[in-house]
Amino acid sequence: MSRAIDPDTAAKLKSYNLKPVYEEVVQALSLPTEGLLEIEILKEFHFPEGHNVLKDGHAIAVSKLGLVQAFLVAKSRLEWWRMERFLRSDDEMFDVTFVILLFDPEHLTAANTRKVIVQEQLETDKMDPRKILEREKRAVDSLLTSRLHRHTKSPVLWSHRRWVISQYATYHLPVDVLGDIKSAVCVAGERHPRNYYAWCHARFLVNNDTINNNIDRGKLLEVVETWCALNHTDISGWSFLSFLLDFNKDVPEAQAQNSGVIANVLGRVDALRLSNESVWVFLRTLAGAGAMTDEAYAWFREIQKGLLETETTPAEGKAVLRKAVEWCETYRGRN
Amino acid sequence: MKLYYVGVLDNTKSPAIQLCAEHELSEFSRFTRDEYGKFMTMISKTVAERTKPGQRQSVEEQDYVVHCYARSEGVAGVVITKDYPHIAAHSVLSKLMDQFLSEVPLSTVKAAKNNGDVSFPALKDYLNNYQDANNANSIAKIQQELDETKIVLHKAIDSVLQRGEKLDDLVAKSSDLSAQSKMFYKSAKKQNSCCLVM
Repeated sequence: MSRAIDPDTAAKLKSYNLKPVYEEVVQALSLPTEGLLEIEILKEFHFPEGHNVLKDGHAIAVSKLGLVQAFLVAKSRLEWWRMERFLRSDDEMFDVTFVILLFDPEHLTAANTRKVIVQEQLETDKMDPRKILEREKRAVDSLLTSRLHRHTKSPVLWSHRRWVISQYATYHLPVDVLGDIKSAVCVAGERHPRNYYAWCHARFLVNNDTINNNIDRGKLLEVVETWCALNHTDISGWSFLSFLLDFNKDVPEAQAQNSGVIANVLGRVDALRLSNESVWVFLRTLAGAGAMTDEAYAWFREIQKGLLETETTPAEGKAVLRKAVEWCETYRGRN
Repeated sequence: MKLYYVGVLDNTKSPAIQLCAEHELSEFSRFTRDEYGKFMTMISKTVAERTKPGQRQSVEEQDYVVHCYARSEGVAGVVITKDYPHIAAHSVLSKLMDQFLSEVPLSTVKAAKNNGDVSFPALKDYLNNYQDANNANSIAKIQQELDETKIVLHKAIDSVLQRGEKLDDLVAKSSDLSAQSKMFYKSAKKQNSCCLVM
């Protein structure tokens, strides 16, 4: 839902007492002790008269008007807090900044305020760092994985998550890299296709030596390959799979794992007669880089030829196939 | 790749009757998925009514495709998919309609007056088992007679409609949609231009 406010909503904003709405919204958005919130923002006609929130377990819907009203209250409280820190407790400021980020996921001050408070809590030694960071991770993941189009691909929110994970490293706490990729990256990637920031975050998790020392390469390949199979038109997923095939490729089992993945992808492309650009850019990149065996490459060429000869392959698909072959003929053999 | 809807309709009547249907709506948010479900029913009926006996159609509308296979017995199978190869969708429809017609007497079909009047429990299995189009491949290998070139492809639902008809008009007139659903249709916006390149 866009940030634009229609004239009717703007008129209502002037006439309302905003604080009860803020309290209603904050109450609904309080983070559960386990799991994530599933938040959506809907137009007013979904809500009973006088209500701004719908709730069903962890699923929360907030009306756009209610969110704007709550944002106005939250914004003023953030401004006061920045002048006089003692006015609000940490928990209140978490509520304030969560409402602000729900309205505007690119609100850097709100995100950085959360960093300041979390940092201070970590440094006091009074609370378990694991609990502090776990809570913050669930808060940002609730925003990143909800069906909120701007939030799932928000650079500020993904950057905030990166900061939270770096705190795990600082405090020598383990990170479940595979779990995070499944629960945050794959979900956000599905909610918002071609999600550059989500998959960049996945690269960060995998490349970070201080947190990834237990990574199971085979399982991770399996998870990402399955995701790519079900989201076969998503270039970002395929790009990450390509990155993974190159990751730790010197370990003994890597060659067999890679061959398995490539064979599975070729088999699926052949069976389903896929001709979309995303999967063929993935395949041609591997072929051109010499990551395919001669046998796999021969199969690749055979599939390409078969699809070009198939009457029902769309014209744009045929163009993709021809470019894939040109690419291979240009680059294969140079490596 | 998603299979959202599998249904069998009596398309000899106008409006068509949704004899049985199953939906997979977990992709949609908790408080709007019912609306999507109702739209799928409405769109299925719209396409089924406009598919002649023996004909196969695939109608693209934004990210979704409605596939329909109308049998000469006066029933039509419909699946609604995203990023799902057309040949796989029609293979599923072939198998579905063969099984439906072998298990459900035509007299039961003709006696149906309302949506959901026919019980066909196997429909849920179709929805679950064919989420991955690769699972439909075994059907395609068996059903050699499925000629993909015979599937009529439409790039937009308006091309299936009669001259002068618009989808907006059908939504406004539909008895399958509540007033809230109709308002939701007007307010829902598609992120058409988002993330096309990266």
